[in-house]
Formats: sequence, structure tokens, C-alpha cells
Amino acid sequence: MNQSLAYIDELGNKVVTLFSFLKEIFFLIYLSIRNFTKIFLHPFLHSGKLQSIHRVIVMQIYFTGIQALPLVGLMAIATGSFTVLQVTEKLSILGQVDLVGKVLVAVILREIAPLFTAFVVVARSGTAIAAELGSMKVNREFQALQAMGIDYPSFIVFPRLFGGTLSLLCLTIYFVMISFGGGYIVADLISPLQFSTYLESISANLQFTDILNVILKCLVTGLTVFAICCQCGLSVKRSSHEVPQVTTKAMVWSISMMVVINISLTLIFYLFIKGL
Amino acid sequence: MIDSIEFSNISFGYESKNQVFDKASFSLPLNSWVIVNGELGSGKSTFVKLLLGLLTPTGGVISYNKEDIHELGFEKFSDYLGNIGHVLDGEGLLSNQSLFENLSLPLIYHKNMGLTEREEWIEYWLKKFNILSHKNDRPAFVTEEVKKIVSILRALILKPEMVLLHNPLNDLSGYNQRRVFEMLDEFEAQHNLKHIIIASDTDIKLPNKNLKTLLLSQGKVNEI
Repeated sequence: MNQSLAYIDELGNKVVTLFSFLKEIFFLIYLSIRNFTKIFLHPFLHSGKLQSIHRVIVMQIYFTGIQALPLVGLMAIATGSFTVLQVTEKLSILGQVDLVGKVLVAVILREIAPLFTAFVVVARSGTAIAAELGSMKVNREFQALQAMGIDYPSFIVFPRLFGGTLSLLCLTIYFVMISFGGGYIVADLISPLQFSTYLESISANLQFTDILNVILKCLVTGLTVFAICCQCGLSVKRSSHEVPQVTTKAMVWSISMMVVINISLTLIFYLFIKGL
Repeated sequence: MIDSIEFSNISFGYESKNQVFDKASFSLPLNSWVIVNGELGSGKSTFVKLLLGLLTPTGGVISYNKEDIHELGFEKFSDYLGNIGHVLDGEGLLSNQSLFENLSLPLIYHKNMGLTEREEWIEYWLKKFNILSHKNDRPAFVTEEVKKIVSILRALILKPEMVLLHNPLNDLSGYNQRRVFEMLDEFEAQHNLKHIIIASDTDIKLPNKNLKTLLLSQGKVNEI
């Protein structure tokens, strides 16, 4: 009986820790967006504050988005070609090759593209952000910023949230285009498929709600995983030995939340929106 | 403009240590050079952090122009900090930016200063300390002495009314220590600097200055 109670107690503690962590994440998102709009969206668009943050955002987009293009492109071609190949082969047996577009939209556009792209972004940029902010904490750079009168949620966190999320959205669109186009080219070499049939099939099955679904997944996933990585980096106290620990924690939490968000939004889409 | 800074019944202690300040009350002497002295662990570092709002006292009020600094709105607090340049012992420069970019940041953020003006202002001071050649180096690639000089420069770069220096002479050669004091003199004479507060573990001798000394001892602060 005592052991059962101990297990329940431990489970309860884990749930409390989970909700406490999620609360910190959403508060960080709120704080950075609020402070950004308060400080930087000043009537003078060319104010120094906006200029100082502009470079940070551009660099974040470069590291998260531009530098990930080759890897995401490679994954997109592989995913697209294998999917197109398998689907057309099976559908041709049934004489339903014109359904290839429906399958591709449902599988690649709605599910695989947002998830795979988010994996790449978290593995490359999310862990780097957690490590970078952790190192900044150890070097007391936040203290220096704070005492210079520079608000760190808007100056450090917001560019990473904004740049990272925007990069994730653009990379996902890039993934979809490469997997559809590149996938067709590779699959056509093995199992000939008329391009017009392929294209018509995709466009006939592509709806506004699909695009909305993908954009929503990218935005929610992007904000959440980058906030998780920032929060983990900021949780470093004083010692450099904490930096690899928080990097691992950021990776684990980000991947878990990514999967939960994608499943949740897919369920919401199918249960409530698909009929619209 | 800084008219008054007062500590009223300030109490503060760290969780693992004894009480650092115990209902300490005093007015910070203004328009002068102030040396903050005390034994190791007497609270010099804590004093500086309390003044900058980096720590919140457990009791009492720190007031700036009769207003509690912890009750100031975001913009007023930003202005308060903008008027106090500071160097904390061990405080870092931004590691992913060059020395020039570290010095430029407050000029862009608070003053929206153009590139030419920034270059002129920053290079003037880097030349004074013979470290202009390190302008585009990142902090990891320069010596501790250069980093300390740049930290002190950053504290003064916005021409603040008050400068707060914690152990400013650590890591500096005798030559550069003299240059630092010459720089403070120049800022005092020409660039709006009125109040100079130096918290130091070592004795500071400035025979030509009318120094005021605050002694931190047993949780209290006394002007001697």
C-alpha cells in the first residue's frame, strides 16, 4: 500500500513538474512578445532598438533556415521519392494512380513535412540555442545586458522565437515543394508516371484547410520548441557543466512537445475542421 | 538627472550565507569620488548589485530621486540604468560580438548613433589605451586586461552621469590603471560624469582627489 502511494506521489510530482515547466515556457513566449511590441514597435521605425535587434533576427534566420536547406532538401527528396514510388506502384495495381495526389497531400503535406522539418530544426538550431544561452548565463552576459538597460526577453529570446519559427515555416514549405517535385523526378525514373496526372491529382486534393493545418503546426511547434530551448538555456545557474545537461533536456522536451503538438493538431483537424 | 540615491533600512542576505545588510540606511554621496571599502564578504559586490536593481532587498527601500527603484515603470527604470554606467567584477562582454560591436550596442540601442559617429567615438578611446588593433577581435581572442579596459569603456560609452566600478583595477597593469583614472578625469571634465563610485577589495590611493569613503561592516554602511 505504501509503495502504491509512493508511486502515485512520484507520478503526481512529475505531472506538477511538467505543468510548471509548460507554464514557464508560455510565460517566456508571452513576455518576449509583449516586451518586443512595447520596446521595438516604436513610432520611429528606424529607432536604434529596432536596428540592434534586426541583425540578431537576420542571423537567426540564416543559421536556422538558410544553412538547413541542403539537409532538408536531401530529406525531402528521399521522403518524396520513396513515398511517390511506393504509392504509385500500389495504386497502379488497383488502377487508381490518380489518387496519388490525395495520398501525398495527406501524408507528406499534412504530417511528414511539418514533423521532419521540425526534427531537423530542433536538432540543429534548438540545441545550439540552448547551449548558446547557457554559455551566456555562465559568462554573466545577461547580467551585463540587464544592467545596460537592455531587456533580454525582447533582445535575446524574441529574435530566436521569431527567426526560428519563420525559418521552420519556410523550410516546411521548401520540404513540401522539393518532396513533391523531386520525388516525382526520382520515382518517374523507376516507375513512369505522367507529370500532368501527378500535378492534377495534387492540385485537386489540396485544400485551404490543408494549408491552414500546416501553417498552424509550424507556428505552434516553432514557438513552443524555440521557447523550450531558450528556457532550458536560461535555466543554467553558474556552472559550465550545466550547459550540456540543459542542451540534452532541451532536445528531449522539444521532440516530445513537437510530437504532442502535431498529433493534437491532426486530431483537431480531423475531428472539427475537415468537414468545413 | 540624479538628485539623490538613498538606502533606507536596507536588509539583504543570501540563502546560504549570513545577512549582508541589516537595516542599513545612508545617502549615497553625490558629485564626488566615492570609495566603497570593506573586508572580504562585507557586501561590496552586493551593494553594487542592489544599486543596479539586479538584486531585490529583503527589507527597506532603495530610492532614486525619492522613488523606489523597484516600483519604477519599465521606461523610468531603463532611464535610471541608462544614467549609471557600471562594471561588475567578472561581468562578461558579449562573446559572439567583437569588441567594437560590444561598445556599439548601447550606442545603437539607446542613442541610435550612426556608424561614422560610433567609429569616431569608440576608436578615439581604443587608441588612448593602444588597443585599436583589437577592435574587430572577439573577447575570447584578447587578454583579460583588454577585456577589462573594454568593460570600463562600455560603462562610460553613453556618457552617464554616474559610474559604478567594482574592482576596476583587477587585471590592469600600473600603466593602464593610471590611464583609467585619466579617462575618468576626462569624462568628469568634459562628458557629464558627476558621480564616481568605486567598490574595491584593494586600497585605492588618489592623493589629488577629494575622496569620500563608505565603509561596509557588520551589515551597516558608514561614511568616514
